[in-house]
Amino acid sequence: KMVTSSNNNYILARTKGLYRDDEKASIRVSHANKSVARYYKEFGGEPLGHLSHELLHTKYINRTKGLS
Amino acid sequence: MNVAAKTYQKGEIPGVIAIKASACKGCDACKRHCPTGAITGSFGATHSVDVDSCLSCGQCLINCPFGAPYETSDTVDEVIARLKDRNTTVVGIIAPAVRVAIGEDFGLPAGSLVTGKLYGSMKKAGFEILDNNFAADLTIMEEGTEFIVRARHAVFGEKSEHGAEIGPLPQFTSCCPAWVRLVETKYPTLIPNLSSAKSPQQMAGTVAKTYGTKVWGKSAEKIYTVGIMPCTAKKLEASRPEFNNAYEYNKKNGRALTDKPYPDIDTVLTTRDLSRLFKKLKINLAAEKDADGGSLLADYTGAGTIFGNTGGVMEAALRTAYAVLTGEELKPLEFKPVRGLKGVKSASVKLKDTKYNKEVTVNVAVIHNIAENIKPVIDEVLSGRSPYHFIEVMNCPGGCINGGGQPIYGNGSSWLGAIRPLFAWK
Repeated sequence: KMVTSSNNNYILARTKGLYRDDEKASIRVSHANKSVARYYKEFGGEPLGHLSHELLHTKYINRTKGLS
Repeated sequence: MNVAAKTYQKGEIPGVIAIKASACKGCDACKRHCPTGAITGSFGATHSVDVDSCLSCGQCLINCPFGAPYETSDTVDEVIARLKDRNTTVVGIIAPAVRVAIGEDFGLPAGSLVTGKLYGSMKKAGFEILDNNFAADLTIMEEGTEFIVRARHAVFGEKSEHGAEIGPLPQFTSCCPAWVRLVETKYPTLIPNLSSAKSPQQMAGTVAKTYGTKVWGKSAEKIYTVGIMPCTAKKLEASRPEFNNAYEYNKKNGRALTDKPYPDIDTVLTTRDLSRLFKKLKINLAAEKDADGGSLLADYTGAGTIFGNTGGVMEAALRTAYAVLTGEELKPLEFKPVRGLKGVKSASVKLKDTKYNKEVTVNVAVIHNIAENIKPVIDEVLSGRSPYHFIEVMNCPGGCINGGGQPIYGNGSSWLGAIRPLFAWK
């Protein structure tokens, strides 16, 4: 079962647009993003490193117990 | 604020979606698009939203034929005021899905890829640009590495290098705030399965106000971050009080100019909001010249941009996890089994973990349109029978490209498609 057929036309058109953006990209894998590498080298350290835990990760909240 | 709300922390927007009673005809179209049955009111009577069940995904809003649902948070004028303030550096954080949809609001065909024109329009309006695709690449580095750690822990008993607790498999993606809210409000026992990686929007806000201070040569207090999202739930996500990591970091390191806390993301505009902002500033995106992003924080890869499609996060993560584990690039890079609009997509990838010199099989699944598809997958995980190691979940049908913050297609008449099969001649 999928959403209505009239929706699929624009959903598929937008989907294709992003795959086209991927195809024309000179670099297509995250680990080869030179600017991301530079972020880690100049500032962030390494993935899952100390600073990454502090800045790029989070914890979630059990909201079934009534928060307010 | 709804005083009955029980599922929101102090400071959070208690539900981004409300229904305008005078516009609602009680037609029930919205109910068929709501993932949690949060819309109440019988057929023919005015409907309303139960804020505690609501995920703020906005699917009701983009599918209502009468335009009755609306967003309770509208900060277009506030952002314009910040753009006019010369002392403030306004950073626009553009999600992948915005660039293939905003053109529709300026008369371009659906799916037109307008990254250059979008950058040009943003610059004309006075924004600096942090492409959220950069943050998506960053997310893959964190979430992909996290998956490898969880998998090696489960398969080889490997311990964490940093002594941190290692979460169980399957690992669920955590980019989609509606999905995260579903877990937090309905399936809290699955919280350890959620990737601890923040969403790209929240990583971007933190990066903008820490590393970004060097990139733009501005103090964090002078940087105003605007998430530009295909998503109404991102407004709620940004208001979570724990998302002030940049402030805490800057304070701890003597870089806070005052004691006044600031959030990582100051405000969120949907794609529709940004179109309104451009129109108020007399910027016609369709006629705008292409521009580039202007800084390294706008550099992104093909893996980052496909985050907006269902299956895109998984495909991007597999490209990187495969390379890290095997030492070789995935060939071909296009991982077709996770593409397309099937409700639940699954695939197995056989690969060699060079660190352990062992063959392993990674089973992945991709779910979108959670209203129809999430239940059996969650039941399997809860009962310990899930065959999967890594599961991507996006609330909206098709992924973020069809998010609740996107341009409304066909004046909200998409519900017509649903009744068409009733007519034999169509």
